[in-house]
Amino acid sequence: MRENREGEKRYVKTILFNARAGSIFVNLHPFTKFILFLLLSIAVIIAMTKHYPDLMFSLFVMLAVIGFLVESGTIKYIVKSYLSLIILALVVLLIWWLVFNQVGTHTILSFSIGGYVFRITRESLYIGLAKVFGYGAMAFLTLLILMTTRDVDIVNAFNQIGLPFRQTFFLSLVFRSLNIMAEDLESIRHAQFARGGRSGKKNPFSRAKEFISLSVPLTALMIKRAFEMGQALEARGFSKAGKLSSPVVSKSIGVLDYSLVMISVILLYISLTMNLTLIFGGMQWLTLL
Amino acid sequence: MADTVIDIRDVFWQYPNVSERSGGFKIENLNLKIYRNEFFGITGATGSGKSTICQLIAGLIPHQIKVPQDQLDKHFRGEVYVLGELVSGLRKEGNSYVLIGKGSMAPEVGLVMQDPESQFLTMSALSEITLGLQIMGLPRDEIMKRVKEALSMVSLDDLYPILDKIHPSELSGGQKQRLVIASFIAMRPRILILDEPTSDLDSAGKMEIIEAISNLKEKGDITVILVEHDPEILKRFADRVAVLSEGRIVAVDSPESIFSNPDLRKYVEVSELEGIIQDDEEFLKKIDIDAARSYRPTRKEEYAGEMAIEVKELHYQYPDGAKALNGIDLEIKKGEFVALIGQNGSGKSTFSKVLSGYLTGWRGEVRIFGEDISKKKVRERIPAIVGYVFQNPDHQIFNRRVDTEIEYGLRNIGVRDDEIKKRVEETLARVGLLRKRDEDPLFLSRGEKRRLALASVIAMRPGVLIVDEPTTGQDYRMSREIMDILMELNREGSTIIVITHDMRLVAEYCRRVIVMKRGRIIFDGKPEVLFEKEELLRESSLLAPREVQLSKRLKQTGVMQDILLSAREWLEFLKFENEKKRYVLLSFQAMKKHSKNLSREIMSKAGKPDAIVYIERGGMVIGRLMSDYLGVKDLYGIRASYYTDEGMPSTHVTVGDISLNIKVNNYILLVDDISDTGKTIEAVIEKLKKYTENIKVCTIAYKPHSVVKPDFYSYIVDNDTWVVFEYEEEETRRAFEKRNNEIGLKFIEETFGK
Repeated sequence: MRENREGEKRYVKTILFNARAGSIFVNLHPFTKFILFLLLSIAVIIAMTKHYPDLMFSLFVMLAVIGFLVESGTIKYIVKSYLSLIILALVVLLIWWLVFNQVGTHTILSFSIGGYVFRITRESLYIGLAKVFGYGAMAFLTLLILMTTRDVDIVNAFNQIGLPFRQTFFLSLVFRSLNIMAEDLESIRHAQFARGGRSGKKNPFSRAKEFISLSVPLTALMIKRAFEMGQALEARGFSKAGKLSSPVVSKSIGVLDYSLVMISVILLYISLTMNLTLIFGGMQWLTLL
Repeated sequence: MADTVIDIRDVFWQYPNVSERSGGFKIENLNLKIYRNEFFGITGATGSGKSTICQLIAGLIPHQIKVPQDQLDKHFRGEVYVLGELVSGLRKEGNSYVLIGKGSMAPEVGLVMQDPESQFLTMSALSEITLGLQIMGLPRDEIMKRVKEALSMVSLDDLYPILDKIHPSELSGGQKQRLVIASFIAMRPRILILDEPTSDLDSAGKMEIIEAISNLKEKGDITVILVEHDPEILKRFADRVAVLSEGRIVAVDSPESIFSNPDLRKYVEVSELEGIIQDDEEFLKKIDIDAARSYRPTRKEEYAGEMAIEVKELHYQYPDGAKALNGIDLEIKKGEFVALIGQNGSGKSTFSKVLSGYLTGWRGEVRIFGEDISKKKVRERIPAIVGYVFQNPDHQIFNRRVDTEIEYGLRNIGVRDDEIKKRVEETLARVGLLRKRDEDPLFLSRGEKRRLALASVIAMRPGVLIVDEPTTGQDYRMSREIMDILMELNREGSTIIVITHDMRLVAEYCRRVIVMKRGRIIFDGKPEVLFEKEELLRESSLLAPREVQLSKRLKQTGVMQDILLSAREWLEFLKFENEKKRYVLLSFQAMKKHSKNLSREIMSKAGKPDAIVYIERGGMVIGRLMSDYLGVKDLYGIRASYYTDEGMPSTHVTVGDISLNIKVNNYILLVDDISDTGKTIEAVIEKLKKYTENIKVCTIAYKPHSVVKPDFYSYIVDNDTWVVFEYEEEETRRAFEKRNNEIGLKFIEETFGK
């Protein structure tokens, strides 16, 4: 096992990459994360769809989520893997909004393409930015939850609420099979590279053919593994299992969970009843443009 | 007779055709009884039916295999009883048969299979080990107690505090194997079946786990069945061993009888030494000490070729911050055969991924045949330069025909069609798969798949070939086949790097070993040097193979100059000892002549010595002669020998006392009859250094392997020649009689008469 320091495990493997062991979101119960996800998404959607979209609220949620990403040590994976994609998507979203939603009267910029006049107004920019921050908050929140949740926590959580063992174990097996498949795929890709299969400039057809050729070893391996996993399961007496003991370690819902749910409820209430941008005079800042 | 816990009666088993393992009966007419608290070994070639027997005992076969009801009796016959219960059997109902019996015997029977990947069923190390215990319905406290106990037995205690945080993909193959074994030990089965469960472990780890299981057997009521190729393990732990061949038991006996029976050689994995050495102690006593002292194995040492791989300050860090490579510096020349070893997680795989161009994002400098592989264009060409053969051939079979599988890589690197055709023919012939060229690789046997995987890479003619665990999970014969192909490629100029846990392979084939630990190289040198570093071996969980351990004892007692690394080198030595020894007589007249000539040379080149010191007793005569010819009155004798006063070989040369009552102005002349190994002369020089640093050595004869080359000598004799001095006739005769050296005695008789 790879360790950062001797005898101490600082990171835990999650559904996506790794997260710092002991960080706030890693310690949360999966159900809490699910509730947070629902509450915050609803709050952001409400804030975005108001007559005067609450830009500051969306920005606040997005920054808070980024803060949790930093705290959980997952921000580096986002920077390496998704940041450029997310920024690109949000910029495209903003441009799309500005071009196709010609609202407002205070024109900042106008241009004409093929006789059509496009205007960017103070109002359309404001709404566009509010949407960008809102969608950004939801994208980062989704990643935060995926990057700080361990598959075993999900399985244990279902066990906790009394779902039958066979069903929860099936879910666990699905996760495990995907994990094995990912590891096998990594080795197969390496093998393909070693045989010159992934190098040089090739046309899309050749690339597609290469991708398809991965399926030969992958399928053969998965059939073999499925058979062996079945044998291994039976070797532990799975088909004869009676009443099972409960999982040895499972997360309990604690003060941290309640506190964060409470904060989310407050945020939902704020989004329903207030507009932070209007309260703090955010609209006036736009007049500076 | 002890209680029978397993009783297999007249069992036949054939896999259904939908499975890749189709064909005839996998098990034929199997009758076997295993007794309570026995440690029972099963061995035999790959594919001989060992795993099938394990699954029959565990109740997985035939219950877990879908067999058409109307053809049940065509696939399974006989009865399997385990712990007094019928596990599998057939009952006739009307015109057809029904399968009866308990089926899966868990938790009373635990079955640990070879591949840990497919047996690791959950998403955390803790849930993996508790799964079986949860199924048993044990209370939490009992589960945790057993978890701790089982982890300790497989030496994973350090993981206990963080067990629930460990994801399966964070564990190495060896750790997974240990954890799976622990998960079955925790269930405290009455019968524990281990089907080659330690293939991914290093040699010391393997021994450690089987020892722990053996201790478990000693302490409690458990019967252990171990499927294993390694005769050393079976001889050490098993009470009885069954030998399987093509689904039949060919012998069941004590391991000693099995491995010493020449008729069973074709079925079991035995080194060539096995038939010669029954008992290590007895064998060592019979070694001809003089022959051992003068023998030096012939090994290829120099690699004058160009630089194949240059690595400077290589670092690699995983995204989670874990450092996999921590400043590797390395140079490998063309034509070297290198072993890359180290514990699981030491960085071997990461390093080899860098060398094969697959891994990017590292820091440092890596050059393959002078080309910097950090450049994208160079990296794209790497598959044609560096070949990589994977441990599991299933990972690298991309086509549905054997010949197209070879063509695949060649086409990717742009080889011309006519050349492809030629290389496919050549390579298939080389690995013995020419007749299978039209077949589907997925249906080849395991050994054939392994050879195909190797063939598909060597057809690309890479200058460097990296082979991951070439012998894991294969029987001795299959391993040999692969290694012989690699040796042949090496002789043709390929640079070979093998990543391995198999120390026998390292000792036998590799002239250079690189040991890695925590991303660093902690040893880089010859295997014989590595095997002498006890501390390093312990630290790296390495265990020298039996061949090496035997010769190490001889070297440590001063009998042998070099460690013998393999059965082949032992056989060469024994042949040397028995047949190739040559004898020459040095008569007294000849010695006088040599002494006279040497004295002239000494006077002309070095002048008159202040004193002559001779080594007793061989140097006495020559010492006296030199004293006369040189006119040196100060003559001293000193005792120096490998032997104790009782005539036993000792670890060091014992040097007697000497007191020189002279003032040395010029030099001391140290005299002996022959510089054989040179060790005694070396020891005496050390002793004389308290008088002067100016010591010159003179001997009549000199053997090239001597650690001291005399300043003056008359002639060189071959290393394997025994020089018999005329004045030592009686002494030599007695030595030969003591050692039953018939050839030596014959020489003495012919030379001096009876």
